[in-house]
Amino acid sequence: MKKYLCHPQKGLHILGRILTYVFLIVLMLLAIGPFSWVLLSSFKNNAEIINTSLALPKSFSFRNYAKAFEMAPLASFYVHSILIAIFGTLFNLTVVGMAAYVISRFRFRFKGVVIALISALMMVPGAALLQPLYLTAKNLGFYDKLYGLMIVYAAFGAPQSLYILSSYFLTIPREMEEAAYLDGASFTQTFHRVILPMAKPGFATAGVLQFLLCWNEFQFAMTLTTGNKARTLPVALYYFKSQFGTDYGVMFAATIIVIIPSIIVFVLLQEWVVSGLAAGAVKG
Amino acid sequence: MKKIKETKKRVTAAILAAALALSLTACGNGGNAASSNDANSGSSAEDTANEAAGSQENGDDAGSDAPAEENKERVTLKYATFRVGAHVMAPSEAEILRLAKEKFKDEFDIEVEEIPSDSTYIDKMKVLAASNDLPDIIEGKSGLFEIALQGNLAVPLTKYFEEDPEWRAAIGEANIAFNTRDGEIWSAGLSGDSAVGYYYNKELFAKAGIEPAKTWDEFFSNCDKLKEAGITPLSLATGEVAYSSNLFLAAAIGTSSPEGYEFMTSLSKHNDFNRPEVIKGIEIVKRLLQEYTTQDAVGAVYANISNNFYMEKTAMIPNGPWMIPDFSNPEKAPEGFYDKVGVALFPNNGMVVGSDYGALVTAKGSDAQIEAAVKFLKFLSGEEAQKIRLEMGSVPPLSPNVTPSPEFIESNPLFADLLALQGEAEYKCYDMSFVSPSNFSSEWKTLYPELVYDRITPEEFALKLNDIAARSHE
Amino acid sequence: MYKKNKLQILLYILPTLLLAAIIYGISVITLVGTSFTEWYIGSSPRFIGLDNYIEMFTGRNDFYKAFWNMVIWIGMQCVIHVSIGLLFALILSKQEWYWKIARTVYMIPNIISGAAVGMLFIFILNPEYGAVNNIIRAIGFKDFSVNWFMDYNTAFFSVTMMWLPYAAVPSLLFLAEIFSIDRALYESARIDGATDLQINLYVVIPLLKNTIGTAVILAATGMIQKLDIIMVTTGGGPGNETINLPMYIYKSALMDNNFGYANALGTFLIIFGISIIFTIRLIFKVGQSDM
Repeated sequence: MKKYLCHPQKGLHILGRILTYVFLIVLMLLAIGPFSWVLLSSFKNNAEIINTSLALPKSFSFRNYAKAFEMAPLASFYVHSILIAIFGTLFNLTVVGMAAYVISRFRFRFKGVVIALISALMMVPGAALLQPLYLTAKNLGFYDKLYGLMIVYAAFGAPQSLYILSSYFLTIPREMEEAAYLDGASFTQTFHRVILPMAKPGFATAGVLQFLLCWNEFQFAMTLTTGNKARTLPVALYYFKSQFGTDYGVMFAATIIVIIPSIIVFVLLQEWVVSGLAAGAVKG
Repeated sequence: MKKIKETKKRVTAAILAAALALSLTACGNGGNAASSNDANSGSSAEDTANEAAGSQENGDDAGSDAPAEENKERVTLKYATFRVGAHVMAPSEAEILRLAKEKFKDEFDIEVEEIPSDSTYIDKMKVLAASNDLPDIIEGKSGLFEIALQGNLAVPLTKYFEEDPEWRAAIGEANIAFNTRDGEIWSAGLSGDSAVGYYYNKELFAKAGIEPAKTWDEFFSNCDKLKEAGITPLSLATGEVAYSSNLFLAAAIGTSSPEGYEFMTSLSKHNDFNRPEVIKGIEIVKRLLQEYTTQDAVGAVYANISNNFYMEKTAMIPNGPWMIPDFSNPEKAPEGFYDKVGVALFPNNGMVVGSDYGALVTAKGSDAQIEAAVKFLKFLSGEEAQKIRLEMGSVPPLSPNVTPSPEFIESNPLFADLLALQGEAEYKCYDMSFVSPSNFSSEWKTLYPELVYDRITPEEFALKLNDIAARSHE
Repeated sequence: MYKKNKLQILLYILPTLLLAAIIYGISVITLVGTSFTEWYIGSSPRFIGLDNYIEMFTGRNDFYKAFWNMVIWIGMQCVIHVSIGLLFALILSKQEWYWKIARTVYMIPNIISGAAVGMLFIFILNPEYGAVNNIIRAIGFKDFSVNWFMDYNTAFFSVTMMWLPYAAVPSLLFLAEIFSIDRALYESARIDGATDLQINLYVVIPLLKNTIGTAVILAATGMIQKLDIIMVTTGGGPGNETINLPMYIYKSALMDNNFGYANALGTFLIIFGISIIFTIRLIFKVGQSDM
């Protein structure tokens, strides 16, 4: 006790640590709680879910998972989702990365207008976009095409990526580029050799969010496709959500099937960021 | 180090090039797709462009101006269905489509689009209707019938019914009258009038010492007895489209007075709900929701209430014949549950019925396209398909010729009971969706909580319904 | 060096503009244009001037409720949500043993689509068998029963809790930024005798200013687009307790079939959204590199 009084700094430090842990534990519980409940329930049958909602499943049977694959074309939708998410993200980062660079680095006329225009896109309500975008897709021929959804999602995520990337580019010191220019590098060379490697964490963050957008979007995946040639996993989830559908277990299994790849991608991308950080340490 | 950078540069350049190429292909394919569309359906690229500009072409000129050489083209019909996945009628729909493809394989192709979940189907059809690009056959439910008519998107079927008395007989005059507007028949029903009462758990009823009620007073006293025996009387839900609560609302309005019966049997949509008979019905439902149902009723969805009934947490659930197969489905209900279930009419010998808006032909373009669509519709609504729906999904048929096989009746006594009740019912009322505009469907779930938590009185509830009706354009 | 590259600037910005024009071009023109018309599905638009806007501001409808709910949610999201993300990032930036796993776990709710999160919460908050009520009953309140989504006292709170605490996205932005800060800055501050708290307050946070602005913008726009999670859970109810503008627009367009009115609401939403973004940019001086 006396020791505590003698070292108020240390007391504060301990209090700080306790508060930190409480804060973290609450957030972790909030994050993992619902997910683990769904995970557990995906192994149960209806009666178990309803009567003993908090208990562990009686047995870990994969019956619900097998049934989920039977009821909806999950396998082919999986392939579509992966292709659309990967290429939609690459396309988005490539195109928006370039725009973000000049917006964060240069003053030019109409810059405000460009930012306002792209910001406006974020606000266009989905309900208003459905029908015009359907017509656009039909007329330009990307209705029911994998690359159609890819382009659409790249555009949906453009404002978000633009904000993230340009904010990241701003933190990269200008001296690096000036040195490159002095060495005789061109504009494009500077962008590729100096900016891109240093902005890896920014690209990874924007990439994760863009990937999730592609992975989770439902309304347009439904409206802009017909047949099962270009549909994605969120559409499959609705196979279990019919008005008179009652089988919770299968619904949960399907949800888990959809979530797992996103978690893996997130972990992998984050690893890549961390390795990128080591390389980024040269700067400054 | 330099080499790595070079490679990186090349990779980035390659990605850029790929992206560019991709956007170019997008445009290139655009031309192709438009021209192949052209060949198939006769809707030219210019047409579509015109629609984009907002000038809503309609179906008036459809079929008349198709070039002759297109008749040789093989027709492809587009059809969309929401009866997939967990939908109760998914198996029968799959079987019907399989047979149709087989039957018409020499005449035309059928391209099926699966649209999981009913509400998604309606949303997408509305988008397609606004773009004048509907599939060749759509269903008329939830306001789509009205939209197709208002937009001149549907083909009148009167002349096809005149040419084919057999088809006419298979559909029956009642349904034909139901789907006639301004002297033209617009759609063909796919199922007979659904008869809806409520199912009850015989064991739980015996435990409380009660029988299905004949009057509303008796119904409430039954509910009290069930409560005394520690049983929650009713499965009701206000979520989704509040179907189960609205069944009681319809029955309560329709069986309480002659005016109420008239109100619930009208073929036109009402816009004035501020009437004594409606308010009285709202009061009854309010009482049921406040005192005699589960705690999760407000906001509950069908999955909740059906499971509550299967798990014997509640003694009654209102629903139609399509629920019967689930009682004996081991994936859904416990073993032996089917035998515990009885079926009853609403108090005062009331029954809630639904006529089927069926399906409309919305094909456009060449005569061949429309002819094929009509043929396909004839099959979808014909006796063979009705029989399949009956035996695989317990859907009542339209045609008197379609009768359940003896084995079906034997293995399905509940269905026979329900058919018998249909004969006994004195008051057959439509359910709420027939007498109210389609935009009501999304409002019940936010209105009922207000009523149950005493934020508004039944009178105010009725006035709010009037507001919603005023916003509708039907 | 900047002036020489006008063409380069154009070339770099053009693909994004093209992409936006292809996907949004027709939509935005239709949206704004038809907001001055009476346009129901199945009929052609008919010019009616400002009638839709007059109805919006003066009619007996849910517009003001939807608007204020949205504004409250934007405010909470910008302040509380972003703060939670910032705090989380600052804690993780110490890279203690748990930091990688904590970061991944925290991200999970953001990985799941809005509709799935909504469905999940419906189950967890079910008054009969949901986990939350059962846990409360298990710890002693035997008769506890709250209908979280439908009860007037809890609906707004329950809906808010589906997004407010899940601040993994802002924390990702902050972490990426914090790691790019020169370690030498920390060390010199520490040599000067600064505590962790002081370093965070006086060194790290000021450097994050731009990113905080970005995070606030993304948080605000996220709220302006929030639809599926509300649609799946409360549908805006009970009554209009949890309605927001996107939900109101959806109902007007696809339930009332009133495209003209919905598009007037949409036009308002776009103008409101842009002014929010520019206000935030002004407050945080986003985009002005002053390093």
